[in-house]
Amino acid sequence: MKTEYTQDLELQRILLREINKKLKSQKALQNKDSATPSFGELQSMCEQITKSQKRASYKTILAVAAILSVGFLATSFMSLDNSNESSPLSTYYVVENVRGDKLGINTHLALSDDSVSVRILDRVGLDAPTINAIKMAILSEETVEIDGSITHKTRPDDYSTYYVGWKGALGSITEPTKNILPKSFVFSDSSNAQITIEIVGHTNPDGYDGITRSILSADNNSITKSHITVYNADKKSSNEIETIIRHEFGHALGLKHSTDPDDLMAPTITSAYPFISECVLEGLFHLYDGMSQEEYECKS
Amino acid sequence: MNRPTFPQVIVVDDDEATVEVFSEYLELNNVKVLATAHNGFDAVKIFQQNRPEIVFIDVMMPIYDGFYALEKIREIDPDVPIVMVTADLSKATEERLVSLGASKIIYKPFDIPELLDCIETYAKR
Ligand SMILES: [Zn+2]
Repeated sequence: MKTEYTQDLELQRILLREINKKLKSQKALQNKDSATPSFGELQSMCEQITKSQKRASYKTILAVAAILSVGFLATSFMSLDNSNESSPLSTYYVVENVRGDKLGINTHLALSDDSVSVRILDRVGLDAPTINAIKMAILSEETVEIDGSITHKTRPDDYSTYYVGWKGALGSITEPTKNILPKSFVFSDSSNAQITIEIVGHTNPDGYDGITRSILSADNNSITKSHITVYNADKKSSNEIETIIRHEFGHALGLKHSTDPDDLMAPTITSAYPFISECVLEGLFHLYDGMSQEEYECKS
Repeated sequence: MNRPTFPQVIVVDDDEATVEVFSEYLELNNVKVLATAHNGFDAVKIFQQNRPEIVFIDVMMPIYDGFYALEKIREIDPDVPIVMVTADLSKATEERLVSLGASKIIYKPFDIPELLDCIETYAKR
């Protein structure tokens, strides 16, 4: 399952520059007569947009434009990953180290009190159990204990505690933090909601299942709003959607990716226990306590 | 081989680095960038001089901003596709852009391939 995260405009410029470099070298390799690349590849997506324009109202088109306009940074990051070149950008989220796993920290959510408004925009008509699963990824206070023989984080027969929902996870942090830590989540239909979760039926052109776009404050010191998009939702199980939401919501709260492939915040979620780990919680605590743009090293 | 005519656009953003890399990207994808400007006032000028097929304008620019350019260019040409680029997600901004005649709003950070795709849609008309 691919999930990705987009960050700020400076990064976008850097990545664009990198893409340009790659395009130039590709062009140099191509013979002159086959020089119409991207347009053809984008044909099907263009048809999709045209179709939706025909049936949608203008406002909806704008919304579609907004949803579609989030994949770029994520794509670039993946394509840089896939090409075996060493690129300075691949270290943007993650600093290589030999011991311990690192969890990327972006910046905290800007809050005036500990309540966060969340809007769900369901474009596909999800059934009630799936809507409930989405809400559980956020609101659940349930924990699960997972045996060390599965996680390899502790000895077999030693258990690690994981949280099912962000509310439960955040609620377990009792130490005071310098910035307001979100503790409650209120669902609302307002477009001013701080976190919007948009569930769509179409495919992300770059193959992502979920993307989070965050808007930073003018001083880049906090996240003012986040928009989560889950793609191909009508072809996904409620479990998968719940997992994607759990991961993307972590981004919306300010987390970047983890170097631990088994963590919920790994760039590609393959974990058999995609729940909120102690490591993620410690990272969140430091993030809201003033540490930013860094990597938090988890104790193993 | 039937070589397609390249879509012709202008790009307006107060950030010169953004204009530069964005224009370069467009050119690499066979989109002709006729001219660029860094404020709303010059945007209107280069629009009149070049008459592009599509206009890209950043909303937030000092003094003569994207709203200004949108309004003026719309007065000159009621039909030209004008794509407004903004990081401002507010309803108020959206409504203002729509009421001034924006063809499309792209939110930053944007999906560049999607942008190219829409250039094709508009250029085909
Ligand atoms: Zn992610």
